[in-house]
Amino acid sequence: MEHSQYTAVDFLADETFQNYFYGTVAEDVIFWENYIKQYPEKVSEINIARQMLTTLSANKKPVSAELANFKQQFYKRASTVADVPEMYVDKGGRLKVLKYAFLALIILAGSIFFLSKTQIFNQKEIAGTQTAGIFKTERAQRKKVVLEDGTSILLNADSKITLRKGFNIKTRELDLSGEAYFEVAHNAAVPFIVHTGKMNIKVLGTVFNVKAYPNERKTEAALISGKIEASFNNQNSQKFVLKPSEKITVLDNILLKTNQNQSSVKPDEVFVGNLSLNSKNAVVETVWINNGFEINNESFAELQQKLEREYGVELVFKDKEVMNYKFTATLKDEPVTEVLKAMKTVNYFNYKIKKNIIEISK
Amino acid sequence: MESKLNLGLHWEEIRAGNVKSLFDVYELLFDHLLNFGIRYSADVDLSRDLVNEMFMEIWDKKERLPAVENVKSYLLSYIKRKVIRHYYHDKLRRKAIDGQDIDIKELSYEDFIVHVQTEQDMRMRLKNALEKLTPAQSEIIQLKFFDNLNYVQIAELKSLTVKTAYNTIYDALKILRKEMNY
Repeated sequence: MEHSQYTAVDFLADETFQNYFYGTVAEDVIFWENYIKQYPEKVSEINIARQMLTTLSANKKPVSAELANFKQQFYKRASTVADVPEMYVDKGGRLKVLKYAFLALIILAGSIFFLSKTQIFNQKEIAGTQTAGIFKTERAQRKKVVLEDGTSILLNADSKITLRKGFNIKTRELDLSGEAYFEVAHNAAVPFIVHTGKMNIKVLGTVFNVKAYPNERKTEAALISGKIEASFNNQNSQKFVLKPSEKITVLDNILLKTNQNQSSVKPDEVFVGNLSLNSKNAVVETVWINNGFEINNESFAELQQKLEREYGVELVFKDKEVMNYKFTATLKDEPVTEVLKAMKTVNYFNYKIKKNIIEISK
Repeated sequence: MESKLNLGLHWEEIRAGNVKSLFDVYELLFDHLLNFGIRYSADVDLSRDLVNEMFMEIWDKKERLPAVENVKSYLLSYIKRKVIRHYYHDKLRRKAIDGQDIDIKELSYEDFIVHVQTEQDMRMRLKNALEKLTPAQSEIIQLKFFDNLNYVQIAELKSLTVKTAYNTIYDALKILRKEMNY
């Protein structure tokens, strides 16, 4: 029979129509989407066919929708795995290490307070000012901020959020320097946009992490649930839409080549990949929100800024060779002395602590 | 691909900690597992929750999972245990509350597709329409639209020609449409 003569029963009995309905065969999807454009008068018969398909299948959804929903649950759970009690260190093969000190808070140089303050932001107070509000953390500090729209933000060490003028009126725009974990209150009418030096992230009701320290090469946005759209501040006009469990990374090649000829500098590179899980099944990108500290095959040189930021210390290398030692570890709530002790078991080095300066030698 | 070999390879990947294989197996077997749950519970949401819970459990204990030759039947018995355990607790609870006893048994297609409908009006229309089908028509409709078999598979299973399988479904659909007042 001609497709133009189809009734609901013909659609139902046609296997290619079922493939379209469940999205299982790409060419059938394309065919039926075109068909619907070509024969708009068929809409009511097609809708009857859709309803009957749903009913006869016992109201099942397409597997693709179920899988997307499962992934979201899976990563949401993994992003809040609070149970990372052991301290262990990887060295090629896995070398599980040590007792674990289960310290809730570590006071170092009198300056650490994790999550100690929740600031409730009141919009009326700042109306009419140039910037609507600023939230800052120092080194070795974290802060939880709940905005008036219900969005909650956990700010990592040495980070700053500046709400733009008119926040929560027509748009919700803010600038981030550093790292923050967002749980954005859904409000499609008032778009939520995070601006960083390299990348802008547009959001609809979503949980995600953004890492954008100005002194680091990488700017990274990791999506736990919902949907975000990333765009860039340089010449690149491309946009990326991320699905849950994906992350986007911008690599700044200028920071890499400080001593070289400027003309040889490549533009920024952009990668989209999946979130990583550590061996405790926690999402690596968000372990910090549970006071975890993840070291993922990083050299001492790469770790320097992270340690300095997290613990409010300064590292001084007496020996350049030590800077190339590589480490992998998952830690939780450990004082910097325990972190160094654990690292030392992997690649041996010595350290001396003088106030908040740590001297590292072979 | 849902082949035994392919599923077996994915299973080994899951045991080695590859999360992509967990999602692949989910995609390949979700419908079978969900259908199994629906057959016993007539509850799509409960069945979905149990299947999702099962995949979370598998991931949590991946280091301790056994090597499995037939992944599909392993997971089907896994979900069966979960459904039974759920109803066992439910049964004990009901017994404690009102002395009522219930049996865990496989429901007929007509029973569970009527039961999963949320609107009373729809339930009545569907129930009446299904009563107009012959048992053979009703069985083939189930194979086609609930188990998602294609005409060739249905023909093989029921020793029919593909043409007959198609015609049986076509006639049954015409009756359903008419009786459901679409």
